[in-house]
Amino acid sequence: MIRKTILFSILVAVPIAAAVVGFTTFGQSGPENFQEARIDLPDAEMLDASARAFRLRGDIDRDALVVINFSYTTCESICPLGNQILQFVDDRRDEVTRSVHLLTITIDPAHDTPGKMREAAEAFGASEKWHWLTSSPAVISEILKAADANVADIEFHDPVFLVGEIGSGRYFRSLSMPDADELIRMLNSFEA
Amino acid sequence: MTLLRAVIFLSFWAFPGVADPPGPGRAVFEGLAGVPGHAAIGSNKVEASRFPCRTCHRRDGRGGGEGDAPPIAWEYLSRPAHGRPAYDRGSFSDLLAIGVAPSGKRISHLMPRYEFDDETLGSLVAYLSVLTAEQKTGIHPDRIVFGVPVPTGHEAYGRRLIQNLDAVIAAKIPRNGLYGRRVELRPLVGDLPSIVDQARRQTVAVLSPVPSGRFDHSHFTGSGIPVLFPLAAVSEDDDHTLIRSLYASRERVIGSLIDKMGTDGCGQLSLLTATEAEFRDVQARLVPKNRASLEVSRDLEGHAGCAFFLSGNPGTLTWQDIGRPRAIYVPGAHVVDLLNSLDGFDGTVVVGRHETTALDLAVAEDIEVIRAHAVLIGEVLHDALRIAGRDLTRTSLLSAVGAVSRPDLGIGFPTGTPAGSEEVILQSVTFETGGGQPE
Repeated sequence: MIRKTILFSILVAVPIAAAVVGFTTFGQSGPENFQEARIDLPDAEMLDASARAFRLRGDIDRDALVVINFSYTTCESICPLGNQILQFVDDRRDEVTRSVHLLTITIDPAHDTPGKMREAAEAFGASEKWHWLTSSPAVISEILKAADANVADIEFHDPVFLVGEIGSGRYFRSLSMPDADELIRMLNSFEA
Repeated sequence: MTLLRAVIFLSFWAFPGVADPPGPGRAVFEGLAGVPGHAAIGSNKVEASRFPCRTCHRRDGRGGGEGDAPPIAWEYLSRPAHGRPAYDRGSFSDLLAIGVAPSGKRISHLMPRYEFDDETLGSLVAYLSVLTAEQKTGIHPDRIVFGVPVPTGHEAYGRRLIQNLDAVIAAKIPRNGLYGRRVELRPLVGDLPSIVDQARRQTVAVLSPVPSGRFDHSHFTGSGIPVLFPLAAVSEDDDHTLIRSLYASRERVIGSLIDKMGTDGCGQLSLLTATEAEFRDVQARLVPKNRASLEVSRDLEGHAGCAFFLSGNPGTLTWQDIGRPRAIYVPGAHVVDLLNSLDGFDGTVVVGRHETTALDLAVAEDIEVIRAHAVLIGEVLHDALRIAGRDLTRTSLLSAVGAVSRPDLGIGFPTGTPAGSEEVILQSVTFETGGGQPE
């Protein structure tokens, strides 16, 4: 009987403990709307909204965290919502322990010139740490492939947010549109 | 002077403004300024106008597209669908406020939560109730009605356009129409308020309203009436769900003229714009494009080698006021205003023309430009009506026009823009006192 109790305890308690540990670990690393991913973004040559050269890895502080969103300036439905959420994060960056760079990368490089990106950045009052980036179609394609972002048809692209460390390649990918509270919690889940 | 006038084939009219104050429900749907209420995303809030219904659910409320937003016309919401009970005003209010459908399901994160007062909510339900009827205006089982504005005192233009369009459509659209509907062109006669009212009540869209430096497409689009194929250049910022042009945008014309100034080596430039904002915008685009160091000024007293005429309202300006430049650069839309100030000018006028595809066709076929314009309308309208299918709305028609691709005619609509072409023609006319010779 005692053996049975012990066995029962082990069989039940172990999965519960695993679940608790798992939940706790997941809770520390991010809300349920995110999935961890390893992403090795290229050090791509891009242009920012002032038409200055910008290297995707080289021009971001190695210790900084990034929030990356894929968007295009003529998009009227999901992209404005994504940009609005990034604006909230931009305004609330003092709630995050570490330095944060926000990256809006166009998925319509043929149309989104630096000038178009600048207009959009100004419309959202972007700070200097919110980078609006464009490049050649080939480079954009390379980035999207590395990020495993599905944009076969730009008008039906996934509203993906990536939160992570560009240096280590440790990211969390949003599974649905997060709000700014979730993104800030996610950013603060990284070690200071 | 006569020669330059000959380059311009259209008259210009001025119209008084048309007031059409929308109710708060329509304002919420369309995201008009002054929309009452807030949109909340998580713990953050913004004005509700930042996220109007139409951007995701589309102007006809049918949804689809990015995010796969559901239909929201009230006849859809007010009946059970997809396992959910019908919405009433109370459950619709809950949906907006807390994101929970009558079935108890939580809706997508892609929709913000909205806070409206009772009056706004009631007005929104009322607007959603008439949305489909408004969107089906001018669409009948046997015909689809387009309006052609024929303003009082300027009947000649309207008559010529209708005459040409009738001939082209008769040749292009089958006798029994497309999907059983023939195309009817209805002249809209009277003053501007009367024309807008007729367009709103009777037509699916307005075709080619008369161009004018003072005529604004927003007289129609502000009332939700689509404008198709205007002769005046559209702006890239114009709403492509309400307006579609066959030609290049105003920005593209300005860009081409700026490039030309660069190759012509303009060193000093008088930049004449209607507004300070436009001056700053064009100045910012001019400097990096110009190979030589360029001094840009609004100072009408100073001497300048070149002048860029972007003002639609020169007032009493005489062109000597701008310092006797050797060259004047002007978009086609402002040529008539410029001509009034051009007596005694010696130099070159470079005109940027946006209606390249019609000009090319007119030359190739040896026909009048207005005929070429009508031919292009016939081709694009035919293709668009085939794409749009039987279940047509104003919004789906505009969307179908945007899906037309006719590289043979130089026409195509990049995503999100109202302009159907990027081609601009620059026409140079050299004046010696008393006359001009085209280059």
